[in-house]
Amino acid sequence: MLLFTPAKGFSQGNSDWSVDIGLTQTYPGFFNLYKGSVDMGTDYRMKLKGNLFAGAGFWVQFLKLNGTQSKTVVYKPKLNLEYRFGVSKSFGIVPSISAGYSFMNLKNNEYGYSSTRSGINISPGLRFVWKTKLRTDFYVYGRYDYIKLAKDEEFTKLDYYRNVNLSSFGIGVIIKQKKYGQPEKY
Amino acid sequence: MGNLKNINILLFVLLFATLSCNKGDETLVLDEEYLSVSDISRYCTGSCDVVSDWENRTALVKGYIKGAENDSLMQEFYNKSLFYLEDIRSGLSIEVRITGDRDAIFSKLNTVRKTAMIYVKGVATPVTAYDGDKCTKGMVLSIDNANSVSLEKN
Repeated sequence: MLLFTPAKGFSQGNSDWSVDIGLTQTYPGFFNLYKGSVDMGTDYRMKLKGNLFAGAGFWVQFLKLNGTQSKTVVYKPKLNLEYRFGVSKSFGIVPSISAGYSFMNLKNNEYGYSSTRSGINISPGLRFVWKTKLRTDFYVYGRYDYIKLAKDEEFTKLDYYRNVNLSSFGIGVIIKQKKYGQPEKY
Repeated sequence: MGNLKNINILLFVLLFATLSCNKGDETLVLDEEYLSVSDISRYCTGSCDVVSDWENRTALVKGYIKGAENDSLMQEFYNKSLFYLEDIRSGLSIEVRITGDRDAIFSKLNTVRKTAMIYVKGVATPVTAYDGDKCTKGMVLSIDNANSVSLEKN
């Protein structure tokens, strides 16, 4: 719903793309023994009002169970809402909240096992942005993903394992619509 | 603008609601259908000061033999009268302790393909572990005859 709220006119700073990549961390639960590897994705945002932006993104997260052939790939389409705080002319802090529906594909080729589970995903995040005069800004980010898997007794009979907690920390680049000649104001 | 504010509030309430919910007390019936290693290893834990409902109960567990492809490891398991049952999805495993006919059980295990799931009927036996001053209870699955292990659900 937020995504389709129209912004009046698209001038400087009204929309942008970003691409990021980070390292994943797992937490106690079904994937506790997995070692996170990479979380990467992209999203598009547009201005709603003032420094409030909304958009949509898609991330893919790779998890690996060390010493085995078990792998899990998490597909995370999300809708985002973020607010941009200016710290200085060149730096900004951007807290965000995302919601979506994620798909987790578990696979172990050695045993011929493959299964996909899915569930709602809530994801708060924080970006520290370095604003430039160029067409690109850069950031470091931290993101937490909480996924509540749909009930499926074949997978687990315990609610405990339906709660999946992941986080990632990494770097990203924001691609603005065009080069504006000065850092974006917020 | 009013709608936007409401949506923001709703999102943050939703976030707090999901983050703050706890798992609560869940109950598993151990001998009704075969449970995964992950489920039973999570469920069969507790404090050393409390007798839990799972202790010394019949339990049905399904999983894969850990290290089945490794002959020397299987020999070591035989010598110790145990083997491990693993959930290949999570990597979690439980110890299956043999209290009876070890030769017959291992003869049966040796016929199992490494990639075949096996079904084990045993007794959830509590074991204690100390972590510093803290004592916690876990379980091993005790079996005493070859009929406790099968390649198909009984």
